Amino acid sequence: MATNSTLRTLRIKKFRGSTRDFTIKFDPKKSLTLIYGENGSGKTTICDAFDFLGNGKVGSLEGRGLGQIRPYWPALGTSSADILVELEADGAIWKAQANTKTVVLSPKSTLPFKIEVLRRSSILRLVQDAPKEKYDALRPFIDISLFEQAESALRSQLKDSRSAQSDSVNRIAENQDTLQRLWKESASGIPDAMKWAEDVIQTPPSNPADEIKAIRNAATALESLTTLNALAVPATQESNVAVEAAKVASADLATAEAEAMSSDAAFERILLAARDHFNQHAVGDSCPLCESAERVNGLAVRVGERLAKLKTLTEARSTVVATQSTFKAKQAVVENLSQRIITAATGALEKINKASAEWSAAHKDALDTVVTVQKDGDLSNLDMVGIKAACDAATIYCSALENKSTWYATISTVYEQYRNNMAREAAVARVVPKLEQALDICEKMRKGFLDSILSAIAQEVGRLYEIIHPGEGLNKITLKLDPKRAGSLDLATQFLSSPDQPPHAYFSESHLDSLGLCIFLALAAMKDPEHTIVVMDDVLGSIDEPHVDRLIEKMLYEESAQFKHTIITTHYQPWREKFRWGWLKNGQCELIELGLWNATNGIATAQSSQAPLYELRQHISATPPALQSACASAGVLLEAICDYLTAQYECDVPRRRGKLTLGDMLPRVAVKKIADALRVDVRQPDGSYITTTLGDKLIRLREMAQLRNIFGCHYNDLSHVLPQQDALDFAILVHDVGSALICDDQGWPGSDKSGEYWATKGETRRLYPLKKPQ
Amino acid sequence: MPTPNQELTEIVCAALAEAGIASEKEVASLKARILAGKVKAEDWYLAVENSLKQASEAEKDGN
Repeated sequence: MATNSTLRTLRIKKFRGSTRDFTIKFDPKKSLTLIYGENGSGKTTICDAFDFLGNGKVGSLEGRGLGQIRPYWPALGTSSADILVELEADGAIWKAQANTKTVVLSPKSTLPFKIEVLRRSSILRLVQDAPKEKYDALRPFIDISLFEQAESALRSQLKDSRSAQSDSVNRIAENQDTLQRLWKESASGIPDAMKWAEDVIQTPPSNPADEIKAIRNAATALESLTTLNALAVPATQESNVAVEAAKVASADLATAEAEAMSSDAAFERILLAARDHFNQHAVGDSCPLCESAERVNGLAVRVGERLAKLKTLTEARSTVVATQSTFKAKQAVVENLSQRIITAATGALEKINKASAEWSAAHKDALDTVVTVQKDGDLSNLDMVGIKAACDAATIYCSALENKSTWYATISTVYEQYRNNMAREAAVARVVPKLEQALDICEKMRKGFLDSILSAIAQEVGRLYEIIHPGEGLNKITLKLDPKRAGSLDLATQFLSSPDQPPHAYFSESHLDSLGLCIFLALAAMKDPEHTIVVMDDVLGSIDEPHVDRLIEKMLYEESAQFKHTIITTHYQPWREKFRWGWLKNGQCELIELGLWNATNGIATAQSSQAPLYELRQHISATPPALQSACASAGVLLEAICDYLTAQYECDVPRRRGKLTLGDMLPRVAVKKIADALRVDVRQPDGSYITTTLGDKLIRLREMAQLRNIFGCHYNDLSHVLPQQDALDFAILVHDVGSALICDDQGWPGSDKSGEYWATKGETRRLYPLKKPQ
Repeated sequence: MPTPNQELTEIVCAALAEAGIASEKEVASLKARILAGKVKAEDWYLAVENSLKQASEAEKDGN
């Protein structure tokens, strides 16, 4: 049979149970390897080695509560650095070793093929896991997260665009309302508000800002004049008061001088010295200055009186000086104010000249008084009332100018907004239907895409499940994404007549196991199976006998053909026996048997149990032929042949407890009626057939059957005297019948589909007749 | 072997172009952005808007 496999050897060193170097050699002609071994023989280590190489992990240690599992990678007593897993495949040798953090692969960092490992411990997870974990398991087939992200962005954009369109429509309505209102207020006579607005903005007003500024400047200058007037009036009054005060002080001084005897200051100092003297010394009999005794009495009193008159005079003089000073200061203020008034009036006139002629003409009389003021600085000529009226009018005039400008700006802005909103709405309105159409396409195609993938997976799972459990799989298994939760997948099946039931709620463990296996195989086959090595570690554990036969014969053999290589480990002994006896289609399968593991030798292959036909061939072709062994093997094989033929042709055999013997069965098939019809067409490599008759051989074997016991089963004196050639002839004849009947690749003919004969797969053997001749 | 993202994006983009929603040029740009995980909401708007403009200009040139 053609094979995809390029696996040659697997070498395992210091890894898990491999305490010594262990190497498996794969048959290059077989793409299915069955590794048989009892529990504890090292099957899982072999699967772990593939996992280590292909996936950088040791799955058998996961989920066992070990915490850090790296310490358990190496064989006991060795370190991670000693680990080596080496696979010769595709003409290269791939090595996996452990460094401090990860698994390092060489010669390249990735394998050119995938390795998918299914273990007994994880088989149920595919069925029973939560929807999220199921989704994760299927993620490689249905991961469209990038597309969903883009679809979400599209949905968001459509929402935003619709909102923008709605917003534009609302704004257009607002703009229209505003223009309608302004149009009505204008009472322009133009029949349409939009036409009116277009006309208005065609004739923009001159910029009123300069005019407003000039009027405001003139008004401000006039207000300055009025402010100065408020200062000038009290200043003038104060100046007048100061003049009067100076006059009074001068008159008071004249009076004081007249009353004073002397205005001589030196005289005042003499009087002050005399007073000080008399305060300290009593007045004697004479004047201390002139020593005259005349009028000495009362001298101290008179000195005091003279000093009092001199003080009044001094004070009068001071008052004159003070009032003169005050007068001059007030006069200076008045003069300063006058100057400022002239300056302000000059400035005001300049600004009035720059202001609106309309406004200045309206207030000409009042403004002319400013000219007078400018000339003499006298504000009394200023028309204060008229000036105030001019200032108030300036405010109103400016406000009117501003209102006109604002009115125009409002119309212009609203009309511009209206046009912009119309344009925006039109643009969005063109895009929105396209976005809606795009989203519709995205949603439908995404759903269809996922549905088709999930449906294909479910169909494939159902097809495989149907093989193991006829009538229970096809169109009854569904995979559904939960539309309400991202990354959530439900597995459902029909139970009795009730669809969409969770299988783990109703199925037996055996059914769940086989369902998990089907899911695994379906997923592994969906993506690049020709570049995938499938490894299954003792997955037949809980599957019961009838189902395991169908699983092995009808599913695993068939499905494994699509993969690069399939490796199945098992401790299921009937599989090995059926393999040996050729009851299975062995063409694509190789059997490797493991011996018992021990710490010293580690994992070891055992001498494989040979197929009896093969074994017989070995004994016959030995030099010299191993007669005893040949007769023993021939006897066993002949029993198997008789067992097969009596079953196929429903021969009458004695019914009793215990196994039927050769003596019970051979006479039933080696009878003329059957023997005459028994023949096998053996297909040759070129497709032609060579016919071998069986009946004559079976009749001869019936006559020779005792040779089996004489040479092969018991110690018997007859073996000493009978020709050894008889023993060899017996063995060769059984071998001829066996070779005709049993195909090395396809086993025994078991299919009656032709309606004429029993055939092996591919019709490498055709056994006639189909029914026992009557 | 294409990923599901690539496969779906490919068929959807082809459908968008065929339906006249976006031009081949805009679809190609959109496809690259989708698969790079960098597509933004406004990219969709621009793709459609640009395609409408291109179609309009092509129509003018044709006239």
